[in-house]
Amino acid sequence: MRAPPSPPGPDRHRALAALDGAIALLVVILIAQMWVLGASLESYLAGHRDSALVGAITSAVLFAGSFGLFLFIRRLDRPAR
Amino acid sequence: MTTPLWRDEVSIRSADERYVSRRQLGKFLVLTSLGMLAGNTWLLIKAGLRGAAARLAPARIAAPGEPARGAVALFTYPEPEDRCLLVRTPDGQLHAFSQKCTHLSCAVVYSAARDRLECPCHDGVFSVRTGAVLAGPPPRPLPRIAVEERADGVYAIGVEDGDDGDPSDDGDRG
Repeated sequence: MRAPPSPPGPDRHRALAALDGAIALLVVILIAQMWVLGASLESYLAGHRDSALVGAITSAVLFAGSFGLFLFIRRLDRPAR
Repeated sequence: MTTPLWRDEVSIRSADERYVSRRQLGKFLVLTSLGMLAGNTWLLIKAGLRGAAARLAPARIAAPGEPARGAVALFTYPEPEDRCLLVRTPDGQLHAFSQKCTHLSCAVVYSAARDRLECPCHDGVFSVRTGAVLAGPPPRPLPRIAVEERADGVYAIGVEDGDDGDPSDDGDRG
């Protein structure tokens, strides 16, 4: 049986706005990660092997950021529902 | 304002549905981010493996004194399908490079008259001393094969990525 939805209110609207912001940030992080992967690949193919390490570290930091945002979304989502 | 009858009949709360779709979108974005990280990690592993492969076992590729000055010998290194060429320039120095053009993988040839490596497919030109691109569409220098002249012959001892070295030492750019 489906739980009754929580009534709309200012808290809920704030939560929705925060969710939108978090998702927008996730998209920005993802675009940055795509660029990092593309640049690393191009650099690797050009024979610069050192850039692979820098690319991997940057990508890991960006992934940590996106995972943190995802946890934030989950945490925000639970009480609001 | 009264609620339309269909809203009472159909129990869909649009805000709730948006909540779920946002959470799912977030999950999808994080998984894609993980995919990007996997791609970068794969590149890192590949770069590490290539670094390890650069330390290859020496292989005898020519008899002592071969090739003659201004001549070329073909060999394969490090794998049988990796075709390479060994050039002894008129000044007596040995240089070896992968024969695969970095543009579209045509076989490059040595032009003794111009003392340079040329790709006949799209007129790519490489320095015979450094492997650097002198002219044409190739985006990268030719990978250099490290060679060593020993008493019993010429040995290939490793593969070096083509560096962007100064082609001016060749003096025939263009």
